[in-house]
Amino acid sequence: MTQKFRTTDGGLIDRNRPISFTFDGKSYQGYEGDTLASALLANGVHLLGRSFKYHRPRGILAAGSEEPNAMVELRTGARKEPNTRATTIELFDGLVAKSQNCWPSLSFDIMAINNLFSPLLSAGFYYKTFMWPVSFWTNVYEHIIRRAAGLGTAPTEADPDHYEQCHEHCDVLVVGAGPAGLMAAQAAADKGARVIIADEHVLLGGSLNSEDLTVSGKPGNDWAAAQVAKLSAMDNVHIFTRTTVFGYYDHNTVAAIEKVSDHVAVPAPGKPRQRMWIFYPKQVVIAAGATERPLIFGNNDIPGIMLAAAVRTYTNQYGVKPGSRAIVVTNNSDAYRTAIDLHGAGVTVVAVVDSRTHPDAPLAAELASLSIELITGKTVGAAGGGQRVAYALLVSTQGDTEEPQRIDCDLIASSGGWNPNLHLHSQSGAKPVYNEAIFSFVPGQSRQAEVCVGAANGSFGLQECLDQGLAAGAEAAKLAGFKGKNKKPPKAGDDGDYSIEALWISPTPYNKSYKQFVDQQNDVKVSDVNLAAQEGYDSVELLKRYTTQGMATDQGKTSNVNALAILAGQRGEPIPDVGITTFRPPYVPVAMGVFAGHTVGHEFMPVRHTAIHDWNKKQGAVFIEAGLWLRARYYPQSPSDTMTDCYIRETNNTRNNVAMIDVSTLGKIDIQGPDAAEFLNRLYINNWLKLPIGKVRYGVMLREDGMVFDDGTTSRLGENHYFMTTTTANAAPVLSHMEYYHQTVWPDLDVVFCSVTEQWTGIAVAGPNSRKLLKKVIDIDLDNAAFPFMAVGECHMNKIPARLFRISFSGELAYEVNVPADYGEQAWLELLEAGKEMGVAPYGTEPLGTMRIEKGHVAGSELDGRTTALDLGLEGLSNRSKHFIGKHNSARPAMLAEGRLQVVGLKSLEPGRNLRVGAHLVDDKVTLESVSQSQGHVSATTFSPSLGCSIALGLLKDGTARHGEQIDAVFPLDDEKIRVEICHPVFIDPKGELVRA
Amino acid sequence: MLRIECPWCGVRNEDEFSYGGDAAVDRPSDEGSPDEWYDYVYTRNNSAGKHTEHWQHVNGCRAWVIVVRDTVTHKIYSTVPASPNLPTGKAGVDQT
Amino acid sequence: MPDTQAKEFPVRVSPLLPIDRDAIVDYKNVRLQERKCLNAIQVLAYANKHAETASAISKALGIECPVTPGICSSNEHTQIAWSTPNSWMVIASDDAAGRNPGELLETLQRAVGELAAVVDQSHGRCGLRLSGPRAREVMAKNTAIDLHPRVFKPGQCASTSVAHMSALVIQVDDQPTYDLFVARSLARSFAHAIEHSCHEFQDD
Repeated sequence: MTQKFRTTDGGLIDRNRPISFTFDGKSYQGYEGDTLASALLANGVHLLGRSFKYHRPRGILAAGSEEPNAMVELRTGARKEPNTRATTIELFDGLVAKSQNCWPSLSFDIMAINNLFSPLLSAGFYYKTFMWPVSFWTNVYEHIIRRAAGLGTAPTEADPDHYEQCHEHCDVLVVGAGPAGLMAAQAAADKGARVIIADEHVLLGGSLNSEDLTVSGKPGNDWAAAQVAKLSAMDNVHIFTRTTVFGYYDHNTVAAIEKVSDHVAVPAPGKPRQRMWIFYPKQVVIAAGATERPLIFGNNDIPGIMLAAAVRTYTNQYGVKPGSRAIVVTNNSDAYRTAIDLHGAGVTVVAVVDSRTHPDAPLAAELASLSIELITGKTVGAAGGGQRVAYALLVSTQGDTEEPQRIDCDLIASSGGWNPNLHLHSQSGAKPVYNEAIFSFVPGQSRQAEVCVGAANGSFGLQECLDQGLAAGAEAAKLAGFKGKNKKPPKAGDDGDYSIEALWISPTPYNKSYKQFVDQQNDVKVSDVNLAAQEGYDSVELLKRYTTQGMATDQGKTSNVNALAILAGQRGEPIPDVGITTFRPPYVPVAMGVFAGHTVGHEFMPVRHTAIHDWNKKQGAVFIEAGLWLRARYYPQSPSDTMTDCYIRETNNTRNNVAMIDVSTLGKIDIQGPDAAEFLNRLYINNWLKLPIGKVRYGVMLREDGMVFDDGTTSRLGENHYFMTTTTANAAPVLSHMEYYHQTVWPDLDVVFCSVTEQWTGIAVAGPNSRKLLKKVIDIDLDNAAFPFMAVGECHMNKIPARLFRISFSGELAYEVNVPADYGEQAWLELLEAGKEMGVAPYGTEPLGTMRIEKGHVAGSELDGRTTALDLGLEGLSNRSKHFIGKHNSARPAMLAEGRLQVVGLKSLEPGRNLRVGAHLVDDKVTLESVSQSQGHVSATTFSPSLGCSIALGLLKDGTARHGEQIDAVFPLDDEKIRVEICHPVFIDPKGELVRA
Repeated sequence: MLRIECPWCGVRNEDEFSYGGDAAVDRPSDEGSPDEWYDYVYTRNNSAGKHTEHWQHVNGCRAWVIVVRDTVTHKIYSTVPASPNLPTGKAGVDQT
Repeated sequence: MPDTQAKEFPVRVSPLLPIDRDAIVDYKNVRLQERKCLNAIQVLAYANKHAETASAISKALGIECPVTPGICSSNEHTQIAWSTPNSWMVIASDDAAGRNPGELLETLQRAVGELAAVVDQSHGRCGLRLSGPRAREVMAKNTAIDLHPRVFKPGQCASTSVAHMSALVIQVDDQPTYDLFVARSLARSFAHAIEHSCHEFQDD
């Protein structure tokens, strides 16, 4: 298909490189250097989509990231990307795009009937209409609203591409590579500063590429290209193209998104699709340019009505004629250039309509020389046409009482003036201020190390941009510590002065009413803003929420200032008194994937493996996550083995024979120094000053609020050398806790410590035959007298250096062997080999849990942060004659009062019925539903192979005094109620004879 | 994101640190009254403005530091070691 | 293949065994290798013994032990990295300078005596070496600290977050080459994350 609306020559596209693409299934051609929008316009396609609420035909308004309308679904299948602005999509070969929010087709959209029912869809429509009944919300309204209003549809397949995050530091970050930005980067780089300059586009130069401008006597784009080449050659400058700075955060942290592979169909091998950059600049120069605002008139959303500067961009940069018969309508001097450039490209400019009565004389003269009609004191009151603008109705700015003048056209280039892009400035915490000369907001006082220059500073002249850029770049480098002389700025060609008179809403043609759109993406009209004000939603923040103005994906880039000017008009107040909403990141829509970066799928969280992991995996162990750790939960021996089969078998093998478990995940802390014992004495509730060398002791730690924090064993390895273990879950918190007290509370204690969790593989060998097994491999005397319960010693396991502890969690005769982790698997295999004749087998955390419940050892589900040592039956350990953390608050009256939940054992009295974790303990007179009468809860349950019934630990009101009573364990979700007997939490071997055997 | 200057390692991202609460409260002695101990754990000012707080450089040198931070603007006025007894010194080259 | 050493010592098994290759990544401009059979000894100075400990270490190893944070001194065989305000990490390969396993630990214990605690972390750390012209870019994907050659040079080190995991980073040379040390249990996740970050450079 020919590109009928391409100019014969000119533009910064490569006419030697045609590119094929499809839109709504139809094939087109464009050129390298095109955006999807410019290529569509070159092919005469103006209708791109349907609007959000009324499903009105919409086309292309702008030429950059401010575009509210021209949103398409880009690509297909898993790479489909909805709501993508055609104005920012670089054209690539094989590009597939589709219009969205229309059904069955773009030109015939059934939901366009919303347009006729628009009185029902006014501001606050959702709040007013869908109020009741509540059940209708999920069943009825939601579906209707989702179908009727909305944008593109999300892909249903997983995104095949990957995203990543990167960090870079610099002295000066320059945002935007237009004339001001290029000068700022140059000035800062010349002084030797590390400079980052980032720009959204692949072609740097900003307005120099889209406008007919000259610098140093050269065409603007040539000067920009030379400038970029110069910067590229400097090794202290990093140029980021296709990179939009979207967020300005605390402490001068700035985020940007780099579209690494969006301009190709499929990313190159290994390349991310997009990359998020976090920049850490010392100074920021914001040269983000300005955004033109449209004039607001009736039917101002019809395709073919475009921003005046966008029309110039399409004409000058892309060599596209956005129409054949154009009208330029403006309230300022800038749009005259559109008429001149269009004329130069061979487009008929029917008239320039300037709402001002006294336009700039040189511009008027220039139009006259080109025989372009200039109409002053008038504006476009309304436009007409269906899927493309067909005519404009001109009205006097004073309002008319007669039929308006009709001018036929297929393009209306509209300019309501310019708004500096203050998004990043505002995000940095600064408050923009209103400027009467340009009828817009300009930067206020900086709150962070940033400065706005050029158009972003409200200075629209090219020479001003160059001057300010240079000065700001030099100053930023200086503030970052770099010296050197400032250079002179280059000379810009004359681009006229900017002048403007306010025109916020055009009068409507006599006796007619039209929809006048303020926010085209969210279909917010002037009447909606007025209604909001009339209904009392008359602050900018309320207006925004009530009408949704500025809340679409474009965040109101073309509508915010217009909306608050209209609101100010309604309130009869000056614009500065109405204020401006705070800009929030991101400046442009950013894919969620970019925020996730690499941390998806397997990389979502790191996984911690023990040295035995590979062996466990080979055995077909079923794993459970314990924090980041993977632990073997149980070991199926055949495909039909259930978890219950396994844990019963593994428990029985431990209780009757000998078994091994990998306990490497327990926290381990090496503590040394003259004051180590004193330190332990303050950390734990029990006594540590007299623990003999070669002995282990169980200890309990409290938090400062008196609740139990953690428990574990600590061994004395030498005169001033201790080895602490913590629970798996609290390994890191306990270490931080110790560091906190050592550094902030007791810095005088001469003690040092560090985590050695990773250094040691821990293997517990438990069961009546454990001594027999270990005697085969351990080189020290293991007889009960020589190595009794709670002994610790250095030894060798065959050739492997080891530490042996005689401790037991299972309640059986048991040992724990620690070996350096690189020997962990070998140690494990040697133990298996040595125990083969006895039938040694591994056991997992599931039977471990069973045995600790049988033994009444409290663990994480009882140490839930709300239980005291007294509640857990551990108060007997504490020595209140010494000082320890949590001592005072654990003795507060409430901690000792009646009615606290205390740990108890629970036995099911209903054979075959198993207790559940989380079941409430209620008196039998209470009904099933009355969980509010709960006396406590079941914290851990198991079927006890030793007792032959379901048992549990629970936390029960005054439980210690209630052994022997009966109570109901209820689980309302499953309508379940089981009678249980309350008992002592230690179910087996209450005197602890087995562990001492 | 906050950027916190570790007195030893230089400026690092907030995610290397973990917050440790109010650093202005004094821990009572073992002879302290129940009220003093209660206040130590539970009573806080929740001030808008300068706030003295503990952070630990947990993914770095593991030192506890005292940070004076404005709770409204996040401006950080100072960061000093919490322990008076640890050897001091600044990173060979500042990580700003 | 497990690594073998002198016969009288058990065989050390790397935490990265399942992905053991000569190099985990071997692209033209970036390489990732494991530093196998590592000695990593943490020396923690007691109160007011920091300077004396540093001198003792310097003397014993013939390398200036850094008292400045963020500095790693080294010779051909051994690195001494500032680790925390009161500790260093002394790192060497098992066979470095003809030492036997455990010899470095004993040397340090003898050298510091009662001045400091000497804690063996050799099996608790996994060492990786990332090198090549793209190495700095790979690091930038995983750590927020500034590794620009103006700021971070050979002989500097940092304990920081790398790929969201705590790591010790030492710059070895200006190729650049970085030595990275992480907790043993995290070795696979860590190596995987760094490897993933290298993929972009497979063709250049």
